Amino acid sequence: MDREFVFSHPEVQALIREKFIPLAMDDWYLRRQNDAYGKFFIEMTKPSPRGNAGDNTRQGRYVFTASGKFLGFNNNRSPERILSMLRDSLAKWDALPSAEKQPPGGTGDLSREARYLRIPPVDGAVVKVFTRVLERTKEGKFTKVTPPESAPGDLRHRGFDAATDHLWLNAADLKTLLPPPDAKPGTTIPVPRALAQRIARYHFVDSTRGEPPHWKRDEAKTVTLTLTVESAKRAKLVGRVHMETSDGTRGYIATLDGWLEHDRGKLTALHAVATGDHWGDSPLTAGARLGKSPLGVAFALCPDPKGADSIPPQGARWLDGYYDPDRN
Amino acid sequence: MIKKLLILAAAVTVTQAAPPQTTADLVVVISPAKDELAWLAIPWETDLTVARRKAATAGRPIFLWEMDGHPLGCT
Repeated sequence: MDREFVFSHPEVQALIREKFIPLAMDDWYLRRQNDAYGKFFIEMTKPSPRGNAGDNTRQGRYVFTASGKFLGFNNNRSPERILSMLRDSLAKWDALPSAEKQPPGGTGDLSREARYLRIPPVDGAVVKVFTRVLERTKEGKFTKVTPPESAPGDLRHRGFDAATDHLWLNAADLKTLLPPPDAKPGTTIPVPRALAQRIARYHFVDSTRGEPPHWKRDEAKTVTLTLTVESAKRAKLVGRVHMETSDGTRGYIATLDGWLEHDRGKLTALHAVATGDHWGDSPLTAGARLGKSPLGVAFALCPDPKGADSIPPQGARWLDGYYDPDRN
Repeated sequence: MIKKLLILAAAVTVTQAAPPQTTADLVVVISPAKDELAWLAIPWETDLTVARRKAATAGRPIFLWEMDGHPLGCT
């Protein structure tokens, strides 16, 4: 995968850090944005091999100037090939007039349609979500999978690393989720339905080999998430889920165990882990292990989200449907 | 004597039995290891407008990593 094979390569990293402004974006949004922001991108890609993509994906790696002049493209996982593209692009860059490199009037802002903006919830919380395929030891413990040997030069995405997503909780979620400070220890409180369904349908997914399919409403067979008050500021979080497609070819049956801490209406800590058996894959996540096999999903509050932490949840392409899954 | 040794061995075995995996243990197993986060050593911008401004100021080209699914998130 790109993170492992391309962007962890020391020479690729050094060249990008020293000579470029690195930028990462989601093609799904960009190619749909009929605003100045999206049009800038589409115009820039026209001279590239993706120039005739129409409504289809334009994913890849591009080099371009601040004013939108295309300089290079690559969509290969070979570090040597991307280094070659970067060097070729720099040669083209060097030959440009200085006004192209540093536009005298600056670049200005590009207007954006509000429906495509994804901003971390104000007065809410961002929770990192990591997913990993696991193995069970003879003692019944979960461990990372030891990947089988791969052939030299094999750069296929095998899905043994942790996948990353984000769970967004808005202010209304926190208001309904966090127990009142006077709740007595031992009190059990169900996690509000919208949030429980959001966690189960958009985050209890096997995202380890690419964009995962999210669970449909009728595929959520069982979703039971409960808080048990331990003190004025701490509660235990447990749950169990059974997600399964109608034809039974894909599913996840898991239990959740963790805890959260809160103070004056704010979530101050959250650690939870779901473990269970997953089976099946999808056209965009082909290559799952055969049969049922352990999958773990870890949740941890991100106390100060910035940079990569502010990336929206994969399931938030329809934001209203993400926050209220019963609408989806 | 042998009986005492057997009892002692059993006690040691019990003492050395692996403790159950805690939530904290599992968070460590599932979360990315340090080498899986090496790609974050590149200071990725996430906003085209900000990247263009920085590029114009620094006099550098922009390198864009573009995927279906955010490259820094779930891809």
